[in-house]
Amino acid sequence: MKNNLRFLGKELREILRTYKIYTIPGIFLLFGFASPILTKLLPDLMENLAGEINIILPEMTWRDSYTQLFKNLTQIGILTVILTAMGTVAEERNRGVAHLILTKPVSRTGYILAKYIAHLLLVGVSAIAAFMATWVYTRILFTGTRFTPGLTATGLYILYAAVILAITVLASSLTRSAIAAGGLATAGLFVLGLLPLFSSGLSKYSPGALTGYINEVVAGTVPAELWGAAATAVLSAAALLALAALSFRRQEL
Amino acid sequence: MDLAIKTNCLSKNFGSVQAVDCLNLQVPAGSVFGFLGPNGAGKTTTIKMLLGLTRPSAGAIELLGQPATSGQYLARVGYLPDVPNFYNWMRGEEFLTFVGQLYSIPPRELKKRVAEMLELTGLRGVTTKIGGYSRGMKQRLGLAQALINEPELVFLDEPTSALDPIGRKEVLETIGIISQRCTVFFSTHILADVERVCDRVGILRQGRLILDESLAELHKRFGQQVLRLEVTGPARDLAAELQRLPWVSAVQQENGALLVAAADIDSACVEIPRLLAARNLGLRRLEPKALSLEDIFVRLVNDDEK
Repeated sequence: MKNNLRFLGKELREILRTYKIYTIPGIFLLFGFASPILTKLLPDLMENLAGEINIILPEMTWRDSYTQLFKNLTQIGILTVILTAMGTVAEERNRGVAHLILTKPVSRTGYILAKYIAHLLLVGVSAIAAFMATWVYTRILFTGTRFTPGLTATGLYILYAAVILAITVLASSLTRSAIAAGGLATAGLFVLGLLPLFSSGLSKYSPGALTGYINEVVAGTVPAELWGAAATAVLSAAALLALAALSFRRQEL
Repeated sequence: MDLAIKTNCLSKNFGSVQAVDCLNLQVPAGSVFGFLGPNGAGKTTTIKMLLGLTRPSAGAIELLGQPATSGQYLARVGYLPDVPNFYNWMRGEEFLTFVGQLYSIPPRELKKRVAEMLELTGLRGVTTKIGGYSRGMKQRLGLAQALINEPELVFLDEPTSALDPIGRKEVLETIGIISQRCTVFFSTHILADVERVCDRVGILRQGRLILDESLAELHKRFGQQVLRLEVTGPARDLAAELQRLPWVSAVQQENGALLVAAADIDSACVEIPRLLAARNLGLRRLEPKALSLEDIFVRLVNDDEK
């Protein structure tokens, strides 16, 4: 157990001292700052771009600002998560670092979990920081800004990212190349997006449904199925990680 | 005899390829065991099986008296892979400290050991990140991390193959030092390195162990089978005449002398002077020729091919 924590400490130090500290936090914060400003300026921008055409947009509110943030985070933000985490196991195995470490008293399950937890912490902190940036700017730019819907949506986003990250770590543990792992994880992301189309149960409770619930929470409604989908996300992430650990334990290095 | 490594018909196949074929290794504790073999003989696969990185297809492994399946031996062994790679963003001292922590070495003791290992491997005072290390420096850091836990058994997989002569000499000197403290399992295809530091040798060919013997016994056994003969006077036709004798298996010219491979050395020592006297040739020198490990290796591999 102690060794797993030491390995987690190493993973966190690695994040702080490599490009990873710039990618996810950088991009998330950019969205955090830019989303309220873009939302505020959108009507003016559209008007200027439209020229002679008269475009009537409803007045933008703090909810639109939050919606813009989570739209960015669930699209480009998630791709950034995949790109950052795709090599976490595959590259170390490919370069032979994993051989060196796994001949020390470190369990393979601990190795996988440490990588997952470290990246999840990075995504979680970055998402909270991005939301805080959006909240501050939204308060300045819009009236009646509320904190709780945004915070709840951030929590749901972290849950969604946790599932995507588990898919990425699983993909990374199955392949020897970061690129292949990234491809596999992106395919997983598409499958997750398609799942709600297959049945009404999946549309309500699959982890992919969380992106829809994020928008609903921001819009001021709390769907009854939300907590079921959240529980499914937690279980899915746990199952994917168990699969990653199991397959990694059986693999020959 | 205490054994550091014992394998019982250890085998590994990758599909139809038999990488390791019923390997019965017995490495005495405290020895420096040279694990020799041409490239692709199965050396690295064997080491990976011994360390639990690869599952054997069949057979059993016992390391330091414990079955390898327990994994408990890992805290008592060290390992230097053939191409060691590290976390490039770390510094050497930091990496050694991290590895030491994985072995749960108390902080004060760890600080002391890290300093010792940096000194031993000549990396003291190096503050650049590992990403900026040369191949030789990485090899030395690899050696340092393999020793940080004061292992009872250390696996060195081709530790000198990519080094320049100075780097090679330094690594071999370090192996000489550590051999006082632990069993060394030294895989290589550089025969001169084995001659220099090992006291026991195993030769692997196409996954099979074709020899497992102490270096001294090996030299004795093979050295006694070849005599170096120097004569005075015209020695024309002597080689052909010797070749016809029943106890001579081969005769070869070397720098004005004859190398006589004899199946029966005692007969050779009696018969050769007699033969020379009959031909009115003087005997300048008749001595057992110490074969180099390279000669022995080539001969064993050739014999095995036949």
